[in-house]
Amino acid sequence: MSEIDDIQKLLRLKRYEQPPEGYFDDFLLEFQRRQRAEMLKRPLWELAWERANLWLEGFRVPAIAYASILVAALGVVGLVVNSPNAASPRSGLTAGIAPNQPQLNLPAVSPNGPVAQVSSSALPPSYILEKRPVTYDAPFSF
Amino acid sequence: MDEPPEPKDADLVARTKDGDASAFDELVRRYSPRVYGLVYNMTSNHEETNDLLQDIFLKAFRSIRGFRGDSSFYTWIHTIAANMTINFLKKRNRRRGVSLNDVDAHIENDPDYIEATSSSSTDPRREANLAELQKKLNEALQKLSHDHRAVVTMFDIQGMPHAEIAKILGISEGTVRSRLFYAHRQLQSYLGEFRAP
Repeated sequence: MSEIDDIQKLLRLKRYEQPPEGYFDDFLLEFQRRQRAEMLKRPLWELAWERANLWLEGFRVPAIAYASILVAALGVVGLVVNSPNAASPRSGLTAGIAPNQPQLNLPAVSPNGPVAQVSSSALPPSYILEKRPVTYDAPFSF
Repeated sequence: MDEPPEPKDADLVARTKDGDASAFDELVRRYSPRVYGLVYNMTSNHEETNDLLQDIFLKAFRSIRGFRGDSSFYTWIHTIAANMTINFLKKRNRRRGVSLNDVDAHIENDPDYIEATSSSSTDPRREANLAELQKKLNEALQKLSHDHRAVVTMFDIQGMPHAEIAKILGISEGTVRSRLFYAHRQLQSYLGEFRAP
């Protein structure tokens, strides 16, 4: 028999050292008393937080439901961004330009088409004639 | 008539999480004797063990929401117990006197006890009585480091397998074996007089 076996046999005898009879019943009673006392001492916000968590857990919403809600929310955001109104340069594109980025000072676009806006002092005066001369005669008068 | 089967630990844990304090009481009832054994054999003091055991189960109750069930409740509660006891022993700057429990009278029939304490004409040093053996065993255990004592307590006294000890202490099985080897070597020198000739 090895010396280690002897040591192990001696150590196993420690199992016979036991607390007094009924100790574990008393231990449980003392534990319950301390446990309840501790619960009463807890701050209100902590109890409220725990209750709220318990209440939320009660729903038992599966993870796939959260994923579906996320996908739906992303879809709505996508629709809003891609809507025709959102594509106009005034509302969509210029809104996203950061203030410190250089901006093109483009003229406003009229609904009838682009109009050149040139400073009148920079060019010599010129006159633009109508294609058709102005007349006061009634058209197609015979 | 058959008694209803005992609820599984996992069910009791789930019920505790749902706010059923009586489910945790059942876990305390189930595991307090074993956890007591671990703490008592590491501290060699019944009063300190009693206080620590209360703290261990209160901590477990407070933290049960964080118990995800990756390990068994048995492993989890023993991990809490081992860590808290080792921390307690590190902080205990001056060792309090031992306060040992009475030894169960059944020890008198244990062949290992008879062998260890029997009078031997060839070796009078082995003549010993129960109190002396208990004192010597505890003194020897207290001379071990906290980590070595934890491993010896779990393996030699409580009979846990290496793998379980490794999980509880968060170390490898090789480290468990190595700690046991060095602890046994130390104990051999302290308990030499009680070994078989």
